[in-house]
Amino acid sequence: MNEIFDKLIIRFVFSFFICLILFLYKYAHYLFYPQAKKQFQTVFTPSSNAANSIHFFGRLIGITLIFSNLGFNETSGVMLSLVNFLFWSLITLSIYLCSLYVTESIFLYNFNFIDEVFKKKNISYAIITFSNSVCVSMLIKLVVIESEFSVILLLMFWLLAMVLYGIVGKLFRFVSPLSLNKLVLQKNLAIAFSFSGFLLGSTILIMAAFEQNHIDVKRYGIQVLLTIILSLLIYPIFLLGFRKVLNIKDDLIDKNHDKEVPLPELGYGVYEAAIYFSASLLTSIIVNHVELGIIYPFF
Amino acid sequence: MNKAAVYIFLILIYLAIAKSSSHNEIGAFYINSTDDIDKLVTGAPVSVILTDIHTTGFLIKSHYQKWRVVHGYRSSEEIIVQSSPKFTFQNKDHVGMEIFRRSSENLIANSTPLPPGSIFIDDPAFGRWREDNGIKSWRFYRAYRHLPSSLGWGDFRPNYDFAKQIQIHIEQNKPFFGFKNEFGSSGSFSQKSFPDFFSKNRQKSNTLKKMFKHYFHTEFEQEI
Repeated sequence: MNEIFDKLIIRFVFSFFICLILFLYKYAHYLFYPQAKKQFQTVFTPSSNAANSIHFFGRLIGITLIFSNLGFNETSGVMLSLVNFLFWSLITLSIYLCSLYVTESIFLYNFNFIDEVFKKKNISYAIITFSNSVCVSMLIKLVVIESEFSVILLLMFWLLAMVLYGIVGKLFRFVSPLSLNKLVLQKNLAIAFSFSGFLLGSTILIMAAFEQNHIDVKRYGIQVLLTIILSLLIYPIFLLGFRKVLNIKDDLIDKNHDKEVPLPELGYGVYEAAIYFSASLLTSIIVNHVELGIIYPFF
Repeated sequence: MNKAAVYIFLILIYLAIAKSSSHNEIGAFYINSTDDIDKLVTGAPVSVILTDIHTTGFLIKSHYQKWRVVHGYRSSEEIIVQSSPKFTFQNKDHVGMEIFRRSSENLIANSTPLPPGSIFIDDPAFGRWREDNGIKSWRFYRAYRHLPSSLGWGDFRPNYDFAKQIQIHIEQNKPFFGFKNEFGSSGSFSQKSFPDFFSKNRQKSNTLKKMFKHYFHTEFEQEI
């Protein structure tokens, strides 16, 4: 009975410890977003500002996604496992915050967090930051797994993942007719869904690219790059395929008339999000799950 | 138009990176004709035996050959080369045969397909003819007793008539598959000596019938 009770206490300790790290995150957040200090100093009321809630809980989901990858190893004692957890959680939290800062600066460089969330209560902006948080955390989680808990590899893979994510995210304007800056400014929900779908899809493709055999870092990097280029080649085929097979008429692009392009409705955003996400999932099958064993067998 | 150009550019980048990092593309020497074998295989006397042919690819085929290079004064080695479709087609019937040899006399190279080890037969530096019951058969000296196994001879020992036929075929530049066609892709002797090419595993064993049988088995016949 003593043993069982002791094990239960250990689990309680670990749970409180994770809460403590979340508390640390709160203050680490100030470093990157000093304007958001007020947000943490007052009591949070989820109903008062939907944009703030979406933005804030996106961050929380991101952190928990990253933490879901870590674990406690009891073989070397409670203290050491706590220190180990603290070490890795601090590293991952730092790169998570850093990544959020960088990616939001790339994608939403025209917008100010305080203005959009607190003053304008821009739901469109909040949804994009929400999906960006989730995507970045998914990437960091993958990078931690692939680095096999080596700090140097983690930093190298993280840099590679962020560069790829930044570049792929910037390709949105070549894929979609929607203007990110203009429509977010107008609090348009279609752009929020569309861009979120695109980011999620891109994340799936980058994650698929990182699923390579670890032979050496150089070869691994080349394979990741090759897989991304291959994805860029396959992805448009599915986009085109969906549009042709499902007979979708893009009502936003009117090539025959010189009418002013109407504002996209929510349905248009959902349509774009769905095809970007589905195309990415199918591309990841083609890129990663095609066994060429019969066509290219071993000699 | 711009999108198409970007797409083509991406294809080119992909092909360039993939080619530069591919092991197959880098490692295998490309053989277009027997002249290329002459450049690749050094030393004399030497016998190049084709032990396996392999074709990969869906629409664009790549052809590979596995050779056993048996040197007179060095240990033998195995080489995998990529071959041109023409060269592969030329040699499709010559698996288990010597497709190239270079004599130590004047370093003359010859590529008439012959039974393995033809270059060593009747060479007094490597062995001699021994007469048993009126039939002369070739025996290697003790120093070269490993050669029959390297050449995949097993218990085969060429007789004097066999050696004469080899010389006739070299002069006529015609392949020699043995008196009873024992050598080559359909030869019983080659099948025994170089089983890799002929093994059942290399054949496409998966059929639609087998696949459905497997589905049925996993769904209904699996033991609990």
